[in-house]
Amino acid sequence: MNSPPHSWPVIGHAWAIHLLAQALNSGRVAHAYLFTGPEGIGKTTLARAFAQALLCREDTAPCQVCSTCRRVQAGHHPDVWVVEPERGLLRVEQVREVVREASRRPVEATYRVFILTHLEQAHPAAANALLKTLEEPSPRTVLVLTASAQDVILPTLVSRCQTLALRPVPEATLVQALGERGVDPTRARVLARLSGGRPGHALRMMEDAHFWQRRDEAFNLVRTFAESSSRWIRLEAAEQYARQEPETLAEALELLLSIYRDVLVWQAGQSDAIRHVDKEAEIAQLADLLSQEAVRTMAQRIAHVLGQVRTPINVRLALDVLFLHAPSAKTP
Amino acid sequence: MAQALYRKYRSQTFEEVIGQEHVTTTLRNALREGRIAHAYLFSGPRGTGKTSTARILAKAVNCLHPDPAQRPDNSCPICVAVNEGRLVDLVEMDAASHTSVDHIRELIERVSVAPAEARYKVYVIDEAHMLSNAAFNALLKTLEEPPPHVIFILATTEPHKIPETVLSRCQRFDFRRIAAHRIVEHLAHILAQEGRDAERAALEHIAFAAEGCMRDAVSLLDQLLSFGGERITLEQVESVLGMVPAATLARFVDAMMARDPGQMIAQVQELITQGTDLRQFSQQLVRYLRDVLLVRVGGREVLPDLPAERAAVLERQAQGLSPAFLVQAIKRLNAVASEVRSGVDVQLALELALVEVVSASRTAEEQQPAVASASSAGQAPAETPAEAVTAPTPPAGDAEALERLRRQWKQVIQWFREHRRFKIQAALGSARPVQVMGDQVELVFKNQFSLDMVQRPENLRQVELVISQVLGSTYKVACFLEADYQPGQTTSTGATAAPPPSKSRMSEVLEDDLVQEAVKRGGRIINIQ
Amino acid sequence: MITVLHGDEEFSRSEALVAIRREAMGEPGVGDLNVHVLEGPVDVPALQALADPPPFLGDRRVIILYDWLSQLKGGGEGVAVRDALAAYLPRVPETSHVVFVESTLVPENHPLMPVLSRLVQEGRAELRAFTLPPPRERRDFLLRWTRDRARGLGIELEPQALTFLVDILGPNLRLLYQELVKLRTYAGEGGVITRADVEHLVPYTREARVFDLIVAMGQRNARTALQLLQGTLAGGQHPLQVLALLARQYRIYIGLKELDAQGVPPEEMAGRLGIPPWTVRRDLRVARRLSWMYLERTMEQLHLLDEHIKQGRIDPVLGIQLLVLHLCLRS
Repeated sequence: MNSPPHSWPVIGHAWAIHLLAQALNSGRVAHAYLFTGPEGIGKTTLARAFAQALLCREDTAPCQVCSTCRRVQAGHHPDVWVVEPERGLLRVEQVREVVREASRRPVEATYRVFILTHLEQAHPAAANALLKTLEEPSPRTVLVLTASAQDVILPTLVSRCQTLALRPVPEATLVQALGERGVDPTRARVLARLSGGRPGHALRMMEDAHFWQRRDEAFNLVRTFAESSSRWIRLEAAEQYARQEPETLAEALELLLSIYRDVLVWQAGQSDAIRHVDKEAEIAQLADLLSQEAVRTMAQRIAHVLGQVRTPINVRLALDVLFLHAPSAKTP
Repeated sequence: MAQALYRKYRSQTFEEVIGQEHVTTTLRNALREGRIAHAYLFSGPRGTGKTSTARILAKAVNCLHPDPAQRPDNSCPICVAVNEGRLVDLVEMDAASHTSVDHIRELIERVSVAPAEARYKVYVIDEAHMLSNAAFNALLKTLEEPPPHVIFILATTEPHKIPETVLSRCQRFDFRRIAAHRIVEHLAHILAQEGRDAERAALEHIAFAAEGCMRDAVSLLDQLLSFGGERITLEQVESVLGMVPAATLARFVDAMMARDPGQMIAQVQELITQGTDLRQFSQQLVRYLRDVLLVRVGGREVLPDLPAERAAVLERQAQGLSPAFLVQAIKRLNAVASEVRSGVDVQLALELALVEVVSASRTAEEQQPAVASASSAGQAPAETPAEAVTAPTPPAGDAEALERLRRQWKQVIQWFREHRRFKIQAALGSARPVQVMGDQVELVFKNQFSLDMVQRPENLRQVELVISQVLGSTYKVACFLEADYQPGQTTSTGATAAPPPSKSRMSEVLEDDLVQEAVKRGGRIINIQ
Repeated sequence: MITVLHGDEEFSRSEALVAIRREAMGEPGVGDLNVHVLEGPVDVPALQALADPPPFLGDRRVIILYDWLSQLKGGGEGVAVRDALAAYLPRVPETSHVVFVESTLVPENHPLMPVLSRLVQEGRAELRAFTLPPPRERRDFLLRWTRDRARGLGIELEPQALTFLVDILGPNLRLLYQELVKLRTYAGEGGVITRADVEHLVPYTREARVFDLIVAMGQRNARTALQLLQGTLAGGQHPLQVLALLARQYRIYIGLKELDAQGVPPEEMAGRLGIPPWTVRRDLRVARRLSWMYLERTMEQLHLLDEHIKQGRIDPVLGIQLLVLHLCLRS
């Protein structure tokens, strides 16, 4: 679907913007929307932009320059509420407050917009409290819910919303957006691919000053493992990694995983599909040194450990075992 | 702001309820004869009309129309009050949000009070299975001695959670999943009323996706309509709903059939370029493979709601994939699809799963025709694990074994290619089976190099295992140089270290899930004790 | 008048009670005032207070007491109450009807039996027992009972329909009656019920189909098993229900197989396992053909699927489809 250009402050998702704009222009705005998609794909960003579009009075809505648009962007508009889970839980009191406020008329604007994020983290009582409002909404109220996917929230909630499933943003769009923010083209491609089409993720990596350095470290580690079958080297590496905080450890493991995956892809003869596009030579070398089966197995193992990183396991031990399996040229 | 379609077109009379004729006929008869039960239980999947029928019944028992056969007439003051949600004597309760015994007690206290306006007080309890045990007990008392002017209607998607004591005091009706063609009819009706239009294929896909749930289908239609557009096309349905086009799924599965890991990665790349949500894709792929499996095993009839253009493709693909492969693939991909933790790299997980799945060994059964036949009834299987439908029956004699091996020789070589044992593959390419004597297969090789390669202990073991699997019985392999070979020779120039394992033991090992897991993780069957 | 309605067959017992109440009602509205139900701890003074006074604008008073006699069997404090009751019962006024409703049979050696027997002989008391006949005769009883009730409601059941209904619902008279009423409503006065009607209208017939499904699975007949499963699901049954029914059936197979191995005769097996006798022959045949490994493995798979469904790791319909096929296709 070729969508006309727009002024919404959103990277990608042109089709969704087009549909929402059309609904707005034809006066068929629903009382509840559900935006789904993985973390960092732009659900809340889109929701905020939608709120701007609803409230902005200019012809070029959302114009981004009027007081309304600016206040929505900054989170200060009295008719736009953003409600997020606290410490991983969306509580019933939070929803009750929304329900109360939703019954009031807008303070200034034509609509009152309530954005509730991470609905998969809603306490069951909170989800239920939301049902009534969705069934019998007040006029001029628009609710925008966001969730990682449709099937992790109450079906009765889903059936009362218009769902927009946000999908990964095309590489070209994301690369252009990063370019507009000053990232060099090759690196933009790397970030776009690593982020899996998730603008939020890509922007975060862009803003991380140490990202490229950490990536180089990861490549060094994989190469070290490949060139030496020494167990002690692996155990030492495990010790170093184990000292990190769970968040940074997870990111480091993800980088390692992405490298092994690139090797696997190269070995399967799909060199265009690698993510670290600026590291072709290194990857080709690794592909030559390591056996396919070993690489695949290692990738699976890293994925497995990633799932455990935030649970109460002996992290050091898990990493010991993981790295001991890191393949070298000698691994069959 | 527009009213939701599913509310606007909610059935208001018994005739309008779709797909539950056995229920509506009985209820209408009951009304005509004045034989109304004190308690009803409507059970069945969501979106099949339970709550709607409950409301219609509530209207009908109280409707003021003189002719019972015409109730509900939707015009008398009672019916209108119900439709506007303001009849005091109709109490609708969602057990999901009111599970506590206190709520029920409150309800029950008011039960004995006579109705304010209507003939009957009707209590509709939705999601009734969510009531606590204490609440059920309180309810039971009233059901045991119901006041004459009260009717209870319980609705639930999980009747097995309702205590039997309550069940036996209700007149129970099971609501069926609604057939796709009836959903399509209803959607077409709504479109006509709304003055809009849609491609037939688009409606069929909506119906298929709804899986027998009318409410889901109507909600989907609602979304499509609200986003404008002249005529709803199949493309729009797929695009707005994030559904991968059926053609893409079909192409993907065709690629899977080629068993090439490289192709799998390329396919995933293509999906990404098209902007597909991979997690959703995985879910749809799982369902697609499940449909292929169903058609493979049960024939086209087990999927009566399948849109026409999909059926032919599915049937073709079903011929080329074994049930065992499909079951494994579905399980492996389902793990990816049901991964709900945010932040997991779905692309990577999917790629790994696909590579793993297509690298698994091809079973001999995939050479055999589709629709696995039943093993003859009445035969007692052995005490040990019975023969799988997938394993071929052992050959009757040496000649038959040789013949079979010759026919399948290409597949044997293929196996090694798929498992990246290129050296063995190449070596076997210069060899052929020439004789079978007892439990020994004799191969002749064109050159010494190939013979030496295959005779390496670890390689020989693998060759023996594969040949044994193909033939359905344990065989040793003896290797000869073509130039040296004379038929009838029984001394083998190869050596096998241990006596071959028994057949059942071998099947056990090869099919043992645990071992397969280990093999997947890079282990290898070193030796079978 | 003293009436004791005792026994575990709840439905007929309740009907008898309803009949007694209706007799006493007379004028609707007024009759209510003459019916008293006493629950919880009762003593004789309380009973007397209700039974002694004459009825209010009616023929009789009815006092209903639940599960009191069973509490008075033993010694201790009960003895005093029992003696007081034994003394009072012969003096209950003619205008009062005391009804003891007991959910278990009152045994012959109950301490109050002598008093009650005497009153029975004098025509002032009646003991009515409500139990099902012993297992051997039960099926015939159910068939007759259902046929008679159906006729009473104005419908006729075809033989196949009758046996199907009874075999599916078992010795649950209330359930049988409930379904008969529904069938009657569906078919109208003078209607004839076919087996197909029973299949369509009686929800519990799904269990029959699940049984056929299990047989097909045991025979590794994947095609039939799948068709049966799809039919069950289309009919609206929830996958978890199918799972539970499968588990129940395999449990029975394991039990039968073990008893068989111990040399227990088939006639005894029904009693030991608590299953209807007429199912033993058919189930034993199947159980003998399935290996221990198959049975144990199947239970494990059922459990795993249950866990995975509840953890949200697999869609219920997909899960049960995979399980059924897996069990048919695996060795």
